[in-house]
Amino acid sequence: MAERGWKEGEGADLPEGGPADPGGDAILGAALEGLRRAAEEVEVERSTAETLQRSLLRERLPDVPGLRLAARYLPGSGEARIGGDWYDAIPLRDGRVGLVIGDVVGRGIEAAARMAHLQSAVRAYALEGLRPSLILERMNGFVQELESRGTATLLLAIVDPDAETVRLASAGHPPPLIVDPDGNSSYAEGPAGNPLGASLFPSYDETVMAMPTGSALVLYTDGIVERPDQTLDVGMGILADLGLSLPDEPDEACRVLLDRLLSDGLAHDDVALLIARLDAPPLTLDLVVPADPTSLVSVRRGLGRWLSAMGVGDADAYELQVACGEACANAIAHAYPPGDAHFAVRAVREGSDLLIEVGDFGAWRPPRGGSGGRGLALIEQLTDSLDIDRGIAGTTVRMRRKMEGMAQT
Amino acid sequence: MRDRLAEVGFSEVRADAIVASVSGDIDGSNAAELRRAVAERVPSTARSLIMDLTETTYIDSTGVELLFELARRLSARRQIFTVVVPKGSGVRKVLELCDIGSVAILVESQGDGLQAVDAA
Repeated sequence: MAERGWKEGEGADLPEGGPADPGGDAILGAALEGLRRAAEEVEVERSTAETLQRSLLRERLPDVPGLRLAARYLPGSGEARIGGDWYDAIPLRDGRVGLVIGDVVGRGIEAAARMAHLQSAVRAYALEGLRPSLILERMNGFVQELESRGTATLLLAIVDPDAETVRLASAGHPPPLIVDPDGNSSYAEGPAGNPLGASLFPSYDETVMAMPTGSALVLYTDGIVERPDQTLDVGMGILADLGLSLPDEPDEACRVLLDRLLSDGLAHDDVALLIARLDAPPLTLDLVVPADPTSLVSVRRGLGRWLSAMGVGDADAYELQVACGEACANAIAHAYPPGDAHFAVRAVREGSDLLIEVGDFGAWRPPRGGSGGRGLALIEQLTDSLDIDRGIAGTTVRMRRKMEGMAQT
Repeated sequence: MRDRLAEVGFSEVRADAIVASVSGDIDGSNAAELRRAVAERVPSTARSLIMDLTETTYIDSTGVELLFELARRLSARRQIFTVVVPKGSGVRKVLELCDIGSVAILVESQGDGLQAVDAA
């Protein structure tokens, strides 16, 4: 806001009256044309930077069983506009997910391009399974190697939905807000560390915090809490207060935070926001996933987490995961013409029995030799009953297994 | 982004034994590529392949099929095929249910695998 006022003020300082010499009109016309072109170029650069920035941010966040994710990116309204803020969510081994939020110093296309480098590097290091503090050390080295120098802040949070923990490390980034299941909000403790590229030999500390089911983690860039007319502390105080009544649904929570924190609907600096909430496993597991082999692992992890919450031991859970996985593989392999299709997995407890259903919406075809036949045999060996319902609208595979010593509810 | 779920590492612990160690999950999304990766690393001159599944966290029927196919290929070339899986693991149970013992020597450690190569 202050910036707009300043521009108007400067406009008012222009000398009044026409130019003194007769050729002035033409010169002024040419100058105005030059200004118009320059303004167009600025606009083209701005929209190019924004397109680049947006293309690099995931529109669809990954499916992580037990974790609901939502994110937003807003370009700034002030001179800063596109400034290289970004977020990312990287699915890791064992059902963990790496949440990333960062802020590259600089503006426009150059900042967006540097952000792209950093985003790829974080993904690569995270997929190597490195711990957050080590990833930040490597990232610091990476930033030192980049041709266009400059610093960046970065916060890395590895959430483990099974262990209900989050492991954090920060390179000069504002701390994330944690909202516990009772709705209390607090900022994660731990040193902020050196921004990436600021020091040759930085060391980064790591904090492990409990993240019980029902907790939410709010990652943000300073654009959301910092404004020309208020300090960072004031903004962080307001954010913490808003955390006390944060909506459960992350997407709604993002909307509310941006609404309240950017009251004029505009961010001065650009803004990235990422919210993750750890969900309580439901009494009935209901999953609908694309009919693609890459869905096998998300069903497996979703079922594993649900079985664990039901008190099913590891060995039994493993066997049920295999049985369910075989039914899913069958749905994927046989039930569909090529194209976009989905299948459904439902797991429910009935007394001392566990019932798992895998339903597709295509015609059942008997498995033809190979692993298909072996898969069906495995289901039969790992469950107490197997029933295949071949309907016109689709096929449902029902598997039932008696569970002894399952936790009573 | 596609998660490849598993890592495979190769080592030649002895001149006559190539060890392929798989960590992570084997399922329908990566089994075929994993089979190709292993098959490519075993020359026809090799005496034996030891497939070490100690660090394998999950295997389904496509993973079992991978082992059967490797077994067919190796047996056609008179190469010895040993599979290492610790006792009591879920992976072991699935392999036993699918009777992997009919096409491979099932052992509990790499050392036992090497002894099996010596004995064969």
